[in-house]
Amino acid sequence: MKLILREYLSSLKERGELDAVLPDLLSQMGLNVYSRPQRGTRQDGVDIGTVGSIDGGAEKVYLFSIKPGNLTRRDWSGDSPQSLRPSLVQIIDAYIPGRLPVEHRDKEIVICIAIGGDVQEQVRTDLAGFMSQNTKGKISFEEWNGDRIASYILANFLREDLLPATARSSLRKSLALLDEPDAAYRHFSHLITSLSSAETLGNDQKITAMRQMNICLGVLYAWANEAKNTESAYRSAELTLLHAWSIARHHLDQDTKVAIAIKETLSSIFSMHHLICSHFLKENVMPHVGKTHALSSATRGNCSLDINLKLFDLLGRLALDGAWAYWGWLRCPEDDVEKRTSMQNETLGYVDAVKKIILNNPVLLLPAKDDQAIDISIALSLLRVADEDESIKSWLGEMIGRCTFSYAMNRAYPTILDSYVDLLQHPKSTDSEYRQRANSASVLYPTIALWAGLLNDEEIYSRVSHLQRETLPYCTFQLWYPDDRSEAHFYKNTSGHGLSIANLSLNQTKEQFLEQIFQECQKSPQCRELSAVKFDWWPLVLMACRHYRFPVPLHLLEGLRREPDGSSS
Amino acid sequence: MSNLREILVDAYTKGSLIQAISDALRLADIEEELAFTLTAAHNDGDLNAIEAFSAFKNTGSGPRFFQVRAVFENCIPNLSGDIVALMGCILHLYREAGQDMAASMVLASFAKFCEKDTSRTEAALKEIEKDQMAYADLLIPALQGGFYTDLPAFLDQAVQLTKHKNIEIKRRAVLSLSNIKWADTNHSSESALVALEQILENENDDQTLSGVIHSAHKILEVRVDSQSRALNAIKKALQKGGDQALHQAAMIFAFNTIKLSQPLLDLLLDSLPRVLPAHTNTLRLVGVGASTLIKEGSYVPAIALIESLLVKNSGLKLDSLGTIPHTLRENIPLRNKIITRWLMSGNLPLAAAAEKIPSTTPLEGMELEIDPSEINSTDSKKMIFLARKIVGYFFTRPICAASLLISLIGKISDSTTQNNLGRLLTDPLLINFTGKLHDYVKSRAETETGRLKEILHLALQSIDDYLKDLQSVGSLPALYTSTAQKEAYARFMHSAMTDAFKEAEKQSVLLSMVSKSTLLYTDRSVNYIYGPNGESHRTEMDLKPHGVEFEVPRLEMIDPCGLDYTLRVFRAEKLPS
Repeated sequence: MKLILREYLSSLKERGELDAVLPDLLSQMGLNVYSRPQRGTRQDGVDIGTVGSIDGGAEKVYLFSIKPGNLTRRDWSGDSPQSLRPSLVQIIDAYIPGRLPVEHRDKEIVICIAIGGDVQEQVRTDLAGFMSQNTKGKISFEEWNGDRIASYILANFLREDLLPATARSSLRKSLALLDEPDAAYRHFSHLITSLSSAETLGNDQKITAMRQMNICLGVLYAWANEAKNTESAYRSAELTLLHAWSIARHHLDQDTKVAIAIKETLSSIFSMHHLICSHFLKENVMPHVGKTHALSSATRGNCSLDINLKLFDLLGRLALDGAWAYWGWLRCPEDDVEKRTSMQNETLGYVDAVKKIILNNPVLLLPAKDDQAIDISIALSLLRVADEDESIKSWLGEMIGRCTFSYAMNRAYPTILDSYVDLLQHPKSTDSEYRQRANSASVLYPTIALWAGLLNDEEIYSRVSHLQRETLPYCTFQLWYPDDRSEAHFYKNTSGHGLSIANLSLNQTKEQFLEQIFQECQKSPQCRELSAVKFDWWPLVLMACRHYRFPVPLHLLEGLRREPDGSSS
Repeated sequence: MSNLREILVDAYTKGSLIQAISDALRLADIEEELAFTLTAAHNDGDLNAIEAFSAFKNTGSGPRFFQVRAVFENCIPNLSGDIVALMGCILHLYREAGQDMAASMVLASFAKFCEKDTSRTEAALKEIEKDQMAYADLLIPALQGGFYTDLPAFLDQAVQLTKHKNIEIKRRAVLSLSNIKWADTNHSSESALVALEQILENENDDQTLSGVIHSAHKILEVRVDSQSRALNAIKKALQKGGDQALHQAAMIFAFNTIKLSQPLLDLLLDSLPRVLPAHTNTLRLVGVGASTLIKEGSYVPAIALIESLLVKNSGLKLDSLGTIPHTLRENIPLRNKIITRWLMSGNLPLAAAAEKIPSTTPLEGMELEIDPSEINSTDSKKMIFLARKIVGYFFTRPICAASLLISLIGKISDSTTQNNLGRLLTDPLLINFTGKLHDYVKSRAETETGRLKEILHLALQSIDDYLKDLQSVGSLPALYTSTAQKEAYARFMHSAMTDAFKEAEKQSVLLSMVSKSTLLYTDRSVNYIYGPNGESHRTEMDLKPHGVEFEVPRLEMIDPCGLDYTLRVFRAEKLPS
């Protein structure tokens, strides 16, 4: 296990990665972290400031200067502002005399040189000389290399009494099977599920569990990145964030020490999630969305179904990351123009990517499965916030055309069949019994009708209506709303929840249809009571929908509905 | 070969005569000797061949039915004994043969049997009259034998029988008139013609009318003075008749094409478009006749007949017309003309038929050309229409499609239209087939000149750019289809291929004729074949691998629905008004 951790730590090459792990570790070790890493420059050389006792020793101040990876000559005293030697000098000359909190000034000070890997031999003498020269009075030095940090992680997060053998085994299996993302994810989900059962335990256990989740996710990501296959890490990151939220949601409106620790850890997990998801999309998807058929070919599928399943999945991921970017944009302070512009551009970048992936991968014009309505809904929502109404209409128009054509020709029309083998054989018969079974229900068509209504597109609405009337009279058109069980189960998918408004008829005007389905939002207001909505983390709802395959609740679309005069409601 | 006779007699006494004949046939080509020996043994009373063959069943396994029956057919004319038993035996062997084309050969032997002695015909006719239902099938060969020995007497009898109240007897009597060899006799055909004309007045039975056509044609062939009346009889029979009459007309068309008088040919060409798609044998005969016309240089009426058939019966496939696709394929100028014309017509059945003309090997298709006399190359809309038809119908044989497109581009002078056609060459052709088609277009680009060369280079450039984009993605394992899905797909495909293989085996003509052996460890086998005397023949066999390869269109994976839709639109769209 220690080797796994060492490998993980040495792989943390980017600034921000090791920074994200250490504060949790130090907190877990019982130290009081009074200064956390900030984006940008260090505080006079200090990345993390802590105070406390390690292994029962005297209470000391521990000042960390972090250097990811191995310490090379260039890192030691190069031109970069991040070089270690100048940072250490700054700590001694500026931080300790000027910025060290007054209440800690009489304590011994340990300057910790934290590196994910090892000190390379050619700088070993320089470092030792520096430490020897500057060890005087209350000031001393410690080298926290990968091996030492790994030992601390092992002792404080992963030891037997904290992480049961089965969970450790799940972690090891998920790392061993990174080339089989389904299997790796399955093992990791066992681990996360077992850790998140702490939700019902004491506060300390909750904090520990969340920190363990974060560390394990970090380990998984590091190894996946090394293996150049971050698929399992992506899915695991979503799962981890959802489970972490499920623990944290009870403490988000509190200001206790425990609540603060939980919120900090949630923030770390969110950062890790963001890092993983962005990395996945930026490495695998974004550079290729503008190339005709490139992503479709890149899946190396055996058949068109494989490409379809993968591309709709990628569409959902792109759109969801876009939703997070949009969320970030909305949360930026009005006066932080630079940040707002950056987040706005990031959001629009995702919008552009969604448009391009649809344009260049025609398989996205015909869903194979009805539940791909979820990915479509998330993508539509993102496109809508960027006022891409014409793109939406064009996409949905083509989609309903292809659905109708596929039924007529008995090609692979969208179905509620779920197993891969069933989908491979679909449509295996032209008889009405099979057709009725394959299409006994649909969320996809009401979703298209809903968007046609939202965009006031009479033609698309009437085409869906015609399809329902002429081809699918037996199909139960429905939409889904969270109910009072949803808050308990939504984030961990522990049980069925929500309610469906069934037997929706499109044999009414689109205005009447919208009225009917949005009225149900008033009658089933539990979506607004979901903690993710209450605490303004609404993309989490989209993520839960995408991850656990629940339709997107209409409540999230209410803001997109226009009043008859054309204004948004 | 007294030994053979002994073997046969011995086998007869043991109840295994048929098996013994079958075994003897495996040895060598001794069919005639067997027939001679069997006849002698039967006539000498050493065995009863009629009794043995009366029990011979066509089971599909055991002795080879037709080969063994052929021995008996050779015996029949010279057999002595009870004619009733012989008639029963012949009918049994005829019916055991089922729908096989060789079924009636045993009846021909009975005709030869009757030719030997007038009394045989008389006796046979008596038996037929006594039990019409049982023996009706023997009327024609019996009368045929009679016509040979005493034409005036048996023609009278046949004419009388054409008025018989039993329709089965009547049908056969009418048809029997076709067996008279008018060329070999001076006897007047008047009574036969009158009989046929009377039938036409009163009879609506399709099979009888079919017989009238056949018999009238035999008269028309040789009796100049009766040609007009015979032609009239055929015309009337075709007007009144149905599928059987048309089948008979198709037979005449197929087997007498170049001998047909112009009036008869015109009559047949007028009538044959009425043949329905379900009547595959009749259509094959029409195909034979039309093929002969084409080979003789009279392609205009032949093509008109084919077009008429195709247009009238939208479900009819060109392959149903037997040799027609092959005949059109072999005549290169005509092939190009017809393909161009039928695609340009915008008529669905004709355009679909055009697709069937080129050879199916190689799978990617053969080179074709546009016939400039069939197009108006200055009409851009029509040229684009034709180009889309080419792609729509020849998509699965991309070399056909590309060669036609390239040929069309070369015949157009308008550069915008040329560019539009060049884009069709890129998408959907080159984008789907980047293997042999790419090589083909490249080779054409090297040999062409001027604007056409430029357009081909543009098409190749855009497809190369597309491929470069695809390759630039490199390896992204995170996007790969999961192993579980790959394994599920492999199982699914294996099962589908196994089913398809079994289905193909069921329809295989070869496998229905041979037995199947499975070799476990090698690709060579030794087999021993045993003769009737137990001697063995050693045969060695080398097995050779056999396979085909074809390129799956790229969009069949990436955009199957879009590809299908595009091609259907290309095929279905009408000529712009």
